[in-house]
Amino acid sequence: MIRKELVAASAEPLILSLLARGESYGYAIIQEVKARSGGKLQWTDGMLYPVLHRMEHRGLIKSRWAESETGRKRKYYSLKKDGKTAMAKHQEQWSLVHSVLAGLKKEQYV
Amino acid sequence: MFDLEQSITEWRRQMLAAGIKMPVPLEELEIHLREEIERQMKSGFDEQGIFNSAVQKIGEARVVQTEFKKVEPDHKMRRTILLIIGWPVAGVALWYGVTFLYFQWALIGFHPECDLETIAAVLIILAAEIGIWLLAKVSRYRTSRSVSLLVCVLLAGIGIFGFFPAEQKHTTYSGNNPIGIVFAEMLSQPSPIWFRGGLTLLLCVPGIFWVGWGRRHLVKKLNSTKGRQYA
Repeated sequence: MIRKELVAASAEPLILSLLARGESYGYAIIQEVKARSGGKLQWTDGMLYPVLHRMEHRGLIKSRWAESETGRKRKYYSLKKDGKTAMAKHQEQWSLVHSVLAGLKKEQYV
Repeated sequence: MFDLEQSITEWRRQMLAAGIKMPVPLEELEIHLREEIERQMKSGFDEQGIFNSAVQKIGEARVVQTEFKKVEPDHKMRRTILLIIGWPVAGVALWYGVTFLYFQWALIGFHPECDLETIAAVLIILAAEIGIWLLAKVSRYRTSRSVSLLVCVLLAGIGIFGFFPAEQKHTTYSGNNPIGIVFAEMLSQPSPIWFRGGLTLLLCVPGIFWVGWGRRHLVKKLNSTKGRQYA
């Protein structure tokens, strides 16, 4: 399992990156993250919504209510222009952290 | 027999009790809960087990509410300005209203008249009382809430004390000071009981608000503790 501090820190970039692929709703976002991480990145489901609302409040994403194909009402979230900028920034920073870690790891095996 | 709809209604009640009062988050959470239950149903487990597991995944109501609270805009500056202006205004209004009614009519013992000045004083007291109550509610500062509670207790004390003119006479006179004697002499003709009763009730209003708020707070806390069985 991944440490909860890292889970919390990665929530925003992950949500932004997922929404960059198209609009989605809370439940689907959680399932997608779980599937992509092989179940290792698990959020407490209820915690996702405050994060989504905070991001919406900050103008990174927007939402709309719509009916699903099964007739269930869902709140769909999509990326806004500021969200795209924030996502690019996040990806740049995470890539940097990743490259530093990868470099250090590589040195250990040399 | 386990009733899924009833259990969801009860879960909603627990969420509301924890303070998730805004309709949008609660609706979203309920939709999420139903989606999770529906997904797990396909695997054929028992309904109650699925419901408990889905509720557990959503998380404890109190914790979710704390996260939602962080999203709400703080308006700290506006709140501070409101407190800086609100407290002196409420204080002066209360001082004027109480001294007018209490010392002019109840304590000194004149027979009150329902004139414009008296009505104005009653209205000023009521407005100030609502003011100090709202200042305590709006403010997130403990000091402001404590001052509000203290003022309310003080007001209730003055109100109850004023209801017993004989007691006042005894207390003021026993002091054997010139002011006490003057007050005691003036008390020879105490105000009628309906007036003293009304004044006591008027001064106890914010205290009653506080008791009501305390009771609601306690019930909410108890419900939230009960709600943990779902989390």
